[in-house]
Amino acid sequence: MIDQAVANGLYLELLVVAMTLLGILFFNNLVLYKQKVFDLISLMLISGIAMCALEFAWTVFDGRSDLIILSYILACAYAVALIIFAVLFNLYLLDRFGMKLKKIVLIIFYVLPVAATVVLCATTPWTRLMFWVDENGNVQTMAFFESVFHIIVYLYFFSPLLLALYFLTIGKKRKPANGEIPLSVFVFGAIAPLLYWLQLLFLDRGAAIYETSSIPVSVALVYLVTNVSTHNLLKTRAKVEATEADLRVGTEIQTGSLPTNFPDRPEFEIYASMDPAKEVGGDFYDFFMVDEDHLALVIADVSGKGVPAALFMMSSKIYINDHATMGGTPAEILERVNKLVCKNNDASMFVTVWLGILEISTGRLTSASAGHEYPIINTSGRYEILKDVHGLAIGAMDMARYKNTEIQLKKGDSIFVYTDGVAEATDANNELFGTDRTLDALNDIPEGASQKEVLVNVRTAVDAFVKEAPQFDDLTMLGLKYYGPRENTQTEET
Amino acid sequence: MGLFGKKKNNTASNSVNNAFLKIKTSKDGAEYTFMLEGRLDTNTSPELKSKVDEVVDDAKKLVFDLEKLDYISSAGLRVLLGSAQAMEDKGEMVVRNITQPVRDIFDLTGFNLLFNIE
Repeated sequence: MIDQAVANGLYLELLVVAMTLLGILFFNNLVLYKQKVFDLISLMLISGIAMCALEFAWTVFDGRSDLIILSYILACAYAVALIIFAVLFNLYLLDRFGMKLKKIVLIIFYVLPVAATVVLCATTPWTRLMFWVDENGNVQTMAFFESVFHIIVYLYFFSPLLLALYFLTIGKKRKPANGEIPLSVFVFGAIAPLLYWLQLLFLDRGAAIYETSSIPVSVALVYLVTNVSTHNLLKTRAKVEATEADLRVGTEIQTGSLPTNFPDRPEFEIYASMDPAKEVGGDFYDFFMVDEDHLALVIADVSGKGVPAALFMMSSKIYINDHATMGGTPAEILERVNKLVCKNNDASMFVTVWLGILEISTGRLTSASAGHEYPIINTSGRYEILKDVHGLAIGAMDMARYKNTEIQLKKGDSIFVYTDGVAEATDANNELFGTDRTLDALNDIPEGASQKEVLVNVRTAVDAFVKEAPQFDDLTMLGLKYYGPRENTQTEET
Repeated sequence: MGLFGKKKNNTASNSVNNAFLKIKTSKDGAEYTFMLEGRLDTNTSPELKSKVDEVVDDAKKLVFDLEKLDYISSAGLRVLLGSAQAMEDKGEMVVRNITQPVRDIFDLTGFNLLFNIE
């Protein structure tokens, strides 16, 4: 035989465990799964916790003849919590099965029974339908509670289980969208009675020992809610993973659209790089031959970041490439591109562009700027800013006009163009890298360095400056060094 | 949940260089003035955009006072451009009291040609 005091103590402890489990679950739902307090599942868990707590309190004060009124209150509150819990459980599962109830059904089968319970409990000291606390303070459950109330509660619990069984067997084709949930509900339906039965088997040897449905129901509920939440979480994660995969492909497409085959020609040397701050960025560089004697250089920065900027970048890049190949000066090309971009620009995005066209045979570089950073040129042995004429960024206003700037490159001269990610790289104290530091970094590079080394050195200087501060903006650079016309072209000309 | 969320946001903004933007909105009839202080960049511009979007429908005039604005990035310019475009047919948009760093960026990007600067 089990000692009755030990069994009672154990029973109370189990109630606390059940309560804690539900409490943790409730907390997890709020914090991890970001559910609201007035969500069905949260309300159900709250009523479950209340049910366990009230059963606990009722048990503690049971048999105290001086606390008869408190016993009444606790027992009745427990009954109300129990039926609310059962109703919410039922509604929660119907909701998970994707079933919507009509308002009238909701009132008759859900609200009314709860209201009736409240009335019955409030009147029970006189009617003795639910409970009766005898003169020793012992709470007695009465006939109506045992035979009607309990059965109604069980109906709430078991009807979704039957529904789950239906979805698992003959109703397979009508299985709700949440495919795994019927199985979870069914397992829940198996766990709860099993635990209850074990409890009866091991604890209920003497009639005086308490038995409870709160514990098995709570434990089984932990299984159910965790299962359903995890299932939802996995589904969300699958979506997030798909999005991430899309973004990766997007980055690949974007990076793939930038030329990385740096031509190996005797007349010039070119190198460019782009490091996006996010997976997909809005910066780009481009270079291509317009015709046999003309090389186009492009560097551009789209306002904003992420997918919208990347899409805008792709279309701008293609427009510029198309229109440069059609011919005209950089200013004319930018004007045409701007008109096109403005036509379909509902998102009020814009892109700053520097477009240069180098005549390889003469070294004449014609460029136009649509609100882009000043180019840095080296025509005298030192890098310095070229204050070219600035037009409005592309996409801002369709009437924008642009002006050409012309410079003459001699043998050994070079040009460095970049995006604001370089000059506006920011350290932890919000200080900008700035144009002066950019110039210093360029002038520190030993003469004869390759264009790739030039770009790597600038990048290193930026990294050393910002240190641990996160990269804010895309970092894009393009460097070109002119070696003069090909010998045989010169002889042909003369 | 509320506590948790707030805490997270704070650490996030700390990690991006104490980036901050204070927006003071005032209304005079159908004229709305936004006093901006701090940095208008990728991280802070969505806040300004949502504040502008709230009022743009019944505004006749939008004023951006940039006296205390230290820095504006292309994302910030985009919000200003969007406001200018929204006001194009039904009123005006004015940028007021710009500081030298902001003026430099306006000159660089050519927006000095587009905006009504007072």
